[in-house]
Amino acid sequence: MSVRALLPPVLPAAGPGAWGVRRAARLVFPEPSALAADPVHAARLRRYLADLLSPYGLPAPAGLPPGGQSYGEMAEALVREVVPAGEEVDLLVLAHSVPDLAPGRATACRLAHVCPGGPLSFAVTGPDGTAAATALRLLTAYADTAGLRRALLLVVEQDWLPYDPGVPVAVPEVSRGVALLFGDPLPGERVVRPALTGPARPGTGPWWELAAEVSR
Amino acid sequence: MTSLLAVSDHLPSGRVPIEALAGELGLTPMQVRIFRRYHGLGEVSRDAGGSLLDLLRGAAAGLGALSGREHLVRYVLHARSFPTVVPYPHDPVRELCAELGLDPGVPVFAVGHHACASGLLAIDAAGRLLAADGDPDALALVLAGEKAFTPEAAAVPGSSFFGEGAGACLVSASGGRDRVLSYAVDLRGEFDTVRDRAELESEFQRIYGEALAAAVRAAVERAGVALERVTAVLPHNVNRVAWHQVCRILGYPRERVVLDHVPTVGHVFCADHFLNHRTARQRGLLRPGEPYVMAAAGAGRGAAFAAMVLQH
Repeated sequence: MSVRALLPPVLPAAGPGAWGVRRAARLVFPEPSALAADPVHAARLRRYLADLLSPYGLPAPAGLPPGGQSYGEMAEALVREVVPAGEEVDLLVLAHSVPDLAPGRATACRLAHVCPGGPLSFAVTGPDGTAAATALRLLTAYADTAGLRRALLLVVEQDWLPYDPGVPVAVPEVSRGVALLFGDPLPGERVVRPALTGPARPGTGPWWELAAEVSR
Repeated sequence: MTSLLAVSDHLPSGRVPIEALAGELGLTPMQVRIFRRYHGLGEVSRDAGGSLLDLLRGAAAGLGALSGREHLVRYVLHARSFPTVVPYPHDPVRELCAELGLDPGVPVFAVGHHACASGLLAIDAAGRLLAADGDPDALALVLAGEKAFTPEAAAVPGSSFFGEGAGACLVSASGGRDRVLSYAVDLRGEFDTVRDRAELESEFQRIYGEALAAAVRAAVERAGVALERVTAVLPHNVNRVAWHQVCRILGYPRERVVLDHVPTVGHVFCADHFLNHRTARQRGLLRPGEPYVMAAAGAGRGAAFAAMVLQH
């Protein structure tokens, strides 16, 4: 990818126009990542988790439970679903709450390499389940103020947390992801612009439903 | 225009010589000598027994401008070098927001995957959120800083050692102080691998100086200022030799790059720029109306090279 250089934010005089979700995909990932079976990765992850948990007085898991998803693998599959050959993306925002199987990986940076267009890519995360709603705000802000209008929102979650965090926690029942490709509509194309206001709903639920609506 | 209403940092008092980290990191005595003599690294800051919340609290405490403006904070961003720094769903940043008296409904989130260049991303992202909302009085609180809690978060292989500390700034969409003129970033995802990255290490080191210099050059050109007018570069504290190479490529005087903390503190994750901002102010390197640059390379299962031009 080449250097992307942005000017300070400027709101377009004409407003956002018909910009919205042009295409969507949603996928379930019932099988664990191949990375989960990699012994080198597993050894590295056990050490990482032990050191992560220790300051909180939490015991390290004796062994890693089976399973685990790589958000990089999930995201790459979603990108293939919504970005056809010949199209490019300027901006990619990855959102999740439950941590990745590869907790130290800069997954969004990797996605800038594999997504057509070499987008400016970054991740938005947080444990309260509102990361995706915040990611949508950011994606919209960059589209409006930086002209990065061909934008891809990826929301992923997994059903695997390999330790007891010592506090109440809700882990998703399934591992799944949603891709929403935003842009200016082509002639004859219908777009959907999700609302930025209203209470944020945790997880992929509302995005899963939105993807179905767009695909209808 | 995005601006920094206030900037602060916090360094704990503990220091550990890099020789004391060698065993844990699997470094030979020769490698440590090279780090000390060639890279200019010496000690790293540590807050033994302290938490991430302690570090961030220390930085936020230095934001005098936050007092009385808590109700204006609309977003809180934690810029992270490492995506996962606390057990899920623990949330020390949210705890800090409660201590500071911020609105409990304010979005609190981590932004990153640019490794140690995520701090610049957070400033740019905060400014765009505020600009899109259109409230000229609204503010965003950007926090940076992490614990060196595991060997993977204690050193940058072949380059540096992480120091514990934190930084914070209040971002405004309409202020006139430390205004952001441009932001440039080059994401090099080809250097990512979740498995062994040793085979990419030499190639990464080969392109490092050129790529970082290119990001600086792109930001300066985008801002429409001449590089010779840039009064200071606030770097990431990776090491001295890397920045001397960037200076050679750019033709920029190395004495204007704030490398003061490399030997005494180490690389404080995404917080280096906040720490170096204070030092640059104290050294008189930031002058009203004149441009300066913040720049960083993020390395670690992917690479990001970023630079931001600001007007003091």
